[in-house]
Amino acid sequence: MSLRKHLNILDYAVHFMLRRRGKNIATVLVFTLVVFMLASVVMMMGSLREEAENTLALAPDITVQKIVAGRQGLVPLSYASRIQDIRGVSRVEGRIWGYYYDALEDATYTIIGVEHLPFRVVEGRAPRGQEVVVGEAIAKRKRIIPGDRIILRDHRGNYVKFTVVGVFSPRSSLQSADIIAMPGSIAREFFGIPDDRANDLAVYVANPAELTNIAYKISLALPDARVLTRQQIRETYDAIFGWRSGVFLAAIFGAILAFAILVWDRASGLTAEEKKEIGILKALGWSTEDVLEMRTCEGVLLALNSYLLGIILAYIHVFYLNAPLLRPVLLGWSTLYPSFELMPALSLEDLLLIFMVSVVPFMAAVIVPSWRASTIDPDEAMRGV
Amino acid sequence: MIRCEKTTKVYNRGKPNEVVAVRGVSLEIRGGEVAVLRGPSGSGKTTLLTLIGCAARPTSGRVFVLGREVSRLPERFLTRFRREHVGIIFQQFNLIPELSVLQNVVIPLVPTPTRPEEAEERAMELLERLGLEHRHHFRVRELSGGEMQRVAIARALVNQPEVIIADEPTAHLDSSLAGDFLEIMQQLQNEGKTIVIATHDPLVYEHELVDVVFDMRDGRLVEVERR
Amino acid sequence: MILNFWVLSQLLGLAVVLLLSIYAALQGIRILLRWRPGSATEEQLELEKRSYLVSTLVQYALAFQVLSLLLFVATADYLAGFISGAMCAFGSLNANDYGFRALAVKIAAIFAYSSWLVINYLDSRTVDYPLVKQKYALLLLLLPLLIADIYLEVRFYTGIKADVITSCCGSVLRSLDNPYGFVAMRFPGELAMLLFFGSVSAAAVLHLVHLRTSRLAFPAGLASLAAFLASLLAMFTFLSPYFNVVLFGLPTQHRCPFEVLRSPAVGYTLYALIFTAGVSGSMVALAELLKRKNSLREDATKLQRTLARLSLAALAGSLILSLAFMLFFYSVVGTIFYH
Repeated sequence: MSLRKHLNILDYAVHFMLRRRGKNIATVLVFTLVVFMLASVVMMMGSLREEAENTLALAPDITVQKIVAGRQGLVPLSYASRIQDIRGVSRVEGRIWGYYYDALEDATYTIIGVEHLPFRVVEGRAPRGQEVVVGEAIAKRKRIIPGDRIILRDHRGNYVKFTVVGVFSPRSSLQSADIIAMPGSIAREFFGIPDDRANDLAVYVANPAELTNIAYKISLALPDARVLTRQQIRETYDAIFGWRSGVFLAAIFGAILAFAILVWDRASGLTAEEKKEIGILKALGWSTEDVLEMRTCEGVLLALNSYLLGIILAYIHVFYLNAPLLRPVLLGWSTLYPSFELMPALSLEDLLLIFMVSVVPFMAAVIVPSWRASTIDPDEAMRGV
Repeated sequence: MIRCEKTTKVYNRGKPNEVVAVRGVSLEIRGGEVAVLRGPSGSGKTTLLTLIGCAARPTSGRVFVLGREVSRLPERFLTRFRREHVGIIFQQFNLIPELSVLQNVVIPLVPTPTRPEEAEERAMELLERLGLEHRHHFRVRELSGGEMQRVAIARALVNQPEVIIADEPTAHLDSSLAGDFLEIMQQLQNEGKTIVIATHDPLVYEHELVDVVFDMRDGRLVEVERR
Repeated sequence: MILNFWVLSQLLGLAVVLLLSIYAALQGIRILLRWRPGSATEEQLELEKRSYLVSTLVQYALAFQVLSLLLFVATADYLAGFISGAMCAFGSLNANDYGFRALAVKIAAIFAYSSWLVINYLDSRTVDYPLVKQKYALLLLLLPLLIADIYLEVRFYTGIKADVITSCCGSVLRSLDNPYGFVAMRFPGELAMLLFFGSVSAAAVLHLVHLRTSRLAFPAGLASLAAFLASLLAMFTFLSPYFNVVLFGLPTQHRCPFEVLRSPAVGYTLYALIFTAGVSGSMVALAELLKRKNSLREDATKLQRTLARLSLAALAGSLILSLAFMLFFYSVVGTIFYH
């Protein structure tokens, strides 16, 4: 119909706003900050969740650890054959892996027997003999390209030379970023793990429906074993996540509330000039709806600008700077993962979610003040009220 | 053309600060006439002007403008009627100081389907006619009093109204500028527009172009002088 | 009870909608009691001003309700990660009795809010405000719907227990003890197909006839509503696999209506078309009812034609999109009839 009319009003609203930059800037700042905080948390959560999903996708159906005096110890490989005897178990593997502290870089790496790593090697090939494949973070930090040598200190204190023959995909950095993969036998020698032991056992089950049942049978057969199913690992992630992000989000909801009050306060307090201008507009033939539309345009522009700005800043904060402001709050994760880089993961639904808790309360809070402003009587401008 | 029948306007009815601004006024202004509402301040002439100019609805009685009863129209329709048929010139000009002359003049056309280029073209024509085309990009606050008055006139004309109402238009003008204003009104009358002016300036109500004077006091119409 | 950011946001959104609606209803009651048409008392002027506030509030409530529907499905999809056995929104919604009921109420609410806005639009464009009483009485009827929505959603979230295994689309839709699965499996694919194509084309033809001859507006509106329901049925039965197979290479037995949303461009377009066609189409019938008031006739006719054109375009869009994917499917699988 008359789209033109609405464009005219929108245009006037833009000018109206720009003429009052000073008044609006505080609102934009606070709004942007709220969106920024929310979006940072959502993006970080989304990214971590995706990482967790990736990790879980690679995790075996059941992980069996041996507990010695309440702590994790090495698992005798004889356990593997006992588990293999349980009906429904398709495969059992002993895994070799461990942490390696690099004093030069002040960083902790995970060294793992490559047989147990289903990762794709992006560059290079799988290691054989004294060869390793490293994660991208290590490659970057140490400026390594395939063909270079690295020297690691083994459990006896001897320096051992390895040739780097590949770099892991940066996707799913949580798992592969700080990993050094070498053949299982070499890793065993490096850590000094006896031939009849492994760090833990990876158990694969033919029918997922029997998972819980088999896990139960294993724990009956091996009283000193800790049996973790994939489901339990997921629940652990979720629990840590839910709790920490819950506390943080409660704080943010508080911020939103304060923000809404601020908006209400600012929007309802029209300056004398604004009031006069609206009175003039009304006298000159603008209807209540026209003014209401102009005020709404103003609110939407303010909200959308702040929203986009907040999202962009949060994206930079989380995915380029690795969320320095959130790390201390959310990273109980550092106990699970020594170090990692957040991979960009942002869905339409995330954007919708942030919209729902920032723009929606804002727009709702300005309805009544906008309406009040738009109902100034047209004769007020004439009567000089 | 314009007719009021026992028109009354009460503000703050039933409250301690109740004011009866206009009491039972009946009057008629013919098409193409220049009418003056004369009276001291507080006599109700501005309020009556807002009723005739469709900027407010009477509390009781009826108001007809251009043959249409406007006293019972809901706000939406009253506004549309005012936008299409009435031009208003305010006492303090009521321009928006941060906007340019041109932007001020096109304001009544913003909430209409008029394209901006067309609106500006119309505004430029009016500014040219009023001798202001060289000032169109000036901020309003940079103008002199007489120029502001002419901008206000241009703005009142941009919607091509049949009725023009003016509230104390010469209050802030010296005699020569007031003379210019009346000259412009004369031209508009010659184009067939109906003009209603509220004033207590003898320069205006004694002017030859005035066809009828309504004397107001305490909200009542006390005398009608037709020339 | 499951309490996380998604659920909290969804509840916050609903609280906002409820607040707006209650406020609108209170204003509405006031207008309902004191409205004196033709009077020019200050109170009447004030009430007229308040009527603008009410319509603004309801417009916002509708907009937020649409957002809330989208977010509800997204939340259900997200929750699938916490519910054993659920793989997508279908599994979560099916985790207890309240998921699908909440969804249905939300959809009904969108139709209700739209109806109110149509009535309000026409009423406020008429000098004598002929529908004021009906309008504000109707406004009060929106509230119970909204409260039902919130109640069902809260019950849904509180009823979710991470340790109770639910079954997801893949298995539910194939199992017969579940009503939705029953529909998906037992409802004959060919019949659903017939209903879908039949009602969509019938609605389109009726709208065309209505636009040409100004007759049959009522049947056109009802047919649009039928086409809307048939489209949803189609997504539960025969239609979704075409999308799921072409977009994601899922097995043909996978009849999940939500899966398609994982490709936002296709998924949201498809549902936007279905909803636009259904809502604007059924409003054609409402406008026909309102045309009986003489003072509304002109504006109602104008609005009705706009709505009919919109519905027609959306019907054509959803038909083309569906047929396109059936064709893709044909080129991949080599048959249309996979059931």
